[in-house]
Amino acid sequence: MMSSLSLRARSNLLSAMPKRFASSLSASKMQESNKQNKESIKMTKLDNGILVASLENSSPISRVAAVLNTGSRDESHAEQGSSHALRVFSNLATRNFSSFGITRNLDQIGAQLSISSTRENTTYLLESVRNNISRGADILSEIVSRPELRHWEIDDAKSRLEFELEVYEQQPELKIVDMIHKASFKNSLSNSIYAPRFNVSNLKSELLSGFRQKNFTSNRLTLIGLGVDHDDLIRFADQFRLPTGSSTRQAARFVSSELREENLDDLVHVAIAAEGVGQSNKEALASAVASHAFGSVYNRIKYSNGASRLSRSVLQLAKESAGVTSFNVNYSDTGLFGFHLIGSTNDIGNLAKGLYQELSKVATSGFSNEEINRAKNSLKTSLANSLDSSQGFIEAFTKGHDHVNVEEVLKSVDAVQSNDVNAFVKRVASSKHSLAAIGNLSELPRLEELRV
Amino acid sequence: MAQLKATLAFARKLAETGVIKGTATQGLNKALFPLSKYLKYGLLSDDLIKENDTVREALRRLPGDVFQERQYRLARAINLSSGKSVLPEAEWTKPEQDVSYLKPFIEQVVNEQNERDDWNAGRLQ
Repeated sequence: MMSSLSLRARSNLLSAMPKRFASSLSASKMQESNKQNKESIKMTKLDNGILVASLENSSPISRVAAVLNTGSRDESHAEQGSSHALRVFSNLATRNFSSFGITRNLDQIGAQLSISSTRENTTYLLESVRNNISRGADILSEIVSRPELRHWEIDDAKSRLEFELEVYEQQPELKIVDMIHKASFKNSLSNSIYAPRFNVSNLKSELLSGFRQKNFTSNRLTLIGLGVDHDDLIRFADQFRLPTGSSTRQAARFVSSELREENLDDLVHVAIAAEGVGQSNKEALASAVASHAFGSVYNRIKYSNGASRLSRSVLQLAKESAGVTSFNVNYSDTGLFGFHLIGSTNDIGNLAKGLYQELSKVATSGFSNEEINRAKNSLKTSLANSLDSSQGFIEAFTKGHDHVNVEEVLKSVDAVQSNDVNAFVKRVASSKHSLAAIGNLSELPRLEELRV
Repeated sequence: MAQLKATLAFARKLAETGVIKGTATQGLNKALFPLSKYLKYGLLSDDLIKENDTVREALRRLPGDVFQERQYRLARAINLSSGKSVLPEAEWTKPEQDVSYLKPFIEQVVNEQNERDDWNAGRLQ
């Protein structure tokens, strides 16, 4: 149900509000009600396949999110990088607005437009002052359904795409996520959410239009409105004219393979993963609890190495600074469960071997009840925390309509059985693994040698 | 004909989307056409537009092959005029070939500049 590792790339190029107002913006977000639970969500499915959902949250800011159930996993080999390109080029001219016009109009109504995408979903989020939401929705519908993708505008904006790639290549913690996906999946989910360099010159207007035509279809669109009247939202939905499409999607297949990128960085990143479970699988919550029990990024203690299971066992083997966490992602049909190790060149081999020893220890003797309760509590906290914010709410809604009711979510976490969690870990320990590593790999054994 | 193929195909696409309306086959253009000299050099009327910043930006937006054909026609015309000759009559521009391929882009550039000016002057809301 919950993805602790959801790599999201955001484009805030259309942000109209200058950054110095960021603190007041987040303050109003915090005052944003817990009243979310008092009102219920209204949902309508339109004839063209668009799902419209709205919730009144008494916030002074209205939000409309157009979430498309498409992402980098739908790219064919020739189209690799299209979702990144569309993310970067989303502020270019549409049929009725020029690029300059979009920016100025959003400025004028006090709105902010951001695009973020994962491997499975692309979210266009428009936040504006409550009175101006209809004009904002106009612009949103233009950007989602009628971009012109003029070839000279794309050529001019190419440098922005390349800048994002340059920044991405400097960050091994981002690359390791893409690398573990590439090592673990044979197709679809193996696509990176950043455009591969070799395909950047092919990302031209016709290719991007073709990708949009196939994947940006009305049956994949969900319109979520927070602080928007439901009938208004249905009227806005009329302007999102997209082609109707089939919802066939390539199934992702797990493979066990190894992807190593060598350089001279002393800080080595290693990710090891096994096939996890999909969002609708009954084991989804058990996988999340298992990740929290091992120690995930969600139950860290700031500025310390933490007291999680992995910190107390594996991290002790490191002589220099190191970090070990587990991660768990649940996609629609499958998932990934694994561990992320960061260590120095000389430590990384011992850390990896220690990790496998700890994994087999947990697989044989299981987590204690106390550990599982602690994990459940931290999972409940992080789920409730994310539902508190609008963007977390939107993310949760796209996973499933029942993922947004806080009480139900907390109850279902409580209902997870220890046996299920331990059985899940046992299965992970004995199944096929994949490995991705980046850095100075002179001391890191191969996956085969680690598993004995 | 090689100097016009891509241009005509492009103009057909523009006409389909309703961007341009006609060629020199209508009205005043039709009357003036046989009296003009540019057709004897194999040029189109849009080839003669004087270059300024707006036109340069519009030229930047032309698709590659249309732009190259324009360069070819201009080079050929300059050559002919320096040798004080014209093309043989069979190769003169026909009225239906005189498509307006550049004017839509010039209009687009002018509209964009006007939009910018209007916003900066506070005339738009």
